[in-house]
Amino acid sequence: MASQALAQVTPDIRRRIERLRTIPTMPRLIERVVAALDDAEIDLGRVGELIEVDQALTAQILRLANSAFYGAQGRTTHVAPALVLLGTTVTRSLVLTSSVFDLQKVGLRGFWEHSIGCAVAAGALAKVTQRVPPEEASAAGLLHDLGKVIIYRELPEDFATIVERAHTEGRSFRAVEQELLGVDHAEVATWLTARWHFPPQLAEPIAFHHHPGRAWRAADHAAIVHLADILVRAVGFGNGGDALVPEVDPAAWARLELTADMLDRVLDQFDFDLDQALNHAVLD
Amino acid sequence: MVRVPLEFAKPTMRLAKPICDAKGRVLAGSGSVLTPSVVRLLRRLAIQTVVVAGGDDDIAGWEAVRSLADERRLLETRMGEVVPRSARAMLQEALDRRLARRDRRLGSETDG
Repeated sequence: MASQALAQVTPDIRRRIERLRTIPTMPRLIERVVAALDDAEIDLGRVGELIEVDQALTAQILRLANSAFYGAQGRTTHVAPALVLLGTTVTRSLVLTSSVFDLQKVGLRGFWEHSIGCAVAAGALAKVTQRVPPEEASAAGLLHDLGKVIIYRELPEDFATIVERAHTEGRSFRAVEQELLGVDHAEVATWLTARWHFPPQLAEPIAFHHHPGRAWRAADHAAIVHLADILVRAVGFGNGGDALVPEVDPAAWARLELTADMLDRVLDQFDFDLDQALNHAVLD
Repeated sequence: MVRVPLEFAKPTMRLAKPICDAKGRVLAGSGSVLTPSVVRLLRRLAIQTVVVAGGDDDIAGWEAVRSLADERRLLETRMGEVVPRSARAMLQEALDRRLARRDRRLGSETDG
């Protein structure tokens, strides 16, 4: 296991990994917005007021709500109605991640595309299988490689080495990061999701997208994101850090009960939604 | 120079060949930047693919329109060894059917 591997790595790497465990801390505003979203008697007007304090976050919420992906198409100009459209799960994930990363900004186009593709694929799988709300599956898909972003931000030289070695040695990104760091991106993300109190519908697919059988509170979400990650790699869209298409977990496959006809519908939905998402990204 | 579907056009891309209307009038000249307004114009004209400058270094692999045979070869390479009747085989068969549907939709415009 990763914790045993961690005991064997050099003191220098161990210090750096320990640093990953403690950062980043959640900004005060984000903490207040998340608390308001978690409130049993949620007041979206109040949440909207809090969000509108932050221009960048407001722009991000309105941009997504007005995208073709969500269908408001320029009609939503205030945050509160946008929140109704997006739902609390998606809003929560947007808010939580806005202060951590913007993959487009860090210039990792292939990784950003992989995340968008996984979000779209997870949403398509959710729509066809009708096992979980599509927006929850999409949000989990979007964030499934959060750990890679954290490693990129905090250990950029190690990240570059992992990418290079995965490419030249034809190995998985995960195998190289385990060898080099003693942990993988899924475990790194697990530290963050625990620290930031992500709900199980997001935390478990992020933590277990390579081992969906370990999920126990959001097993359907984990199975869908696991398969979405494989599907988007098999399609050849984006770059997840290596060129390999992982094996499908038999239990996750059995859980989703996908037939050939359903797979065709998933892929048609994927193509349609990806087109919409990318057109928004280009034309916005 | 590579042909890409219009939906994958980006403001960083430039046309490598002009786009003309039915009467031969140039709508967007060679070298035009594919800005959002240009893309919207081309979309209204039902243009599906455009030829843009740059090679493989500039264009991500998934963006280029290839022949169905090339797409199938790439899919087989990505999938690697596949056990018959496994989940992986079912996935590969579905992806192969998708490639055929996509090819029919785009009309195999690979001649440049």
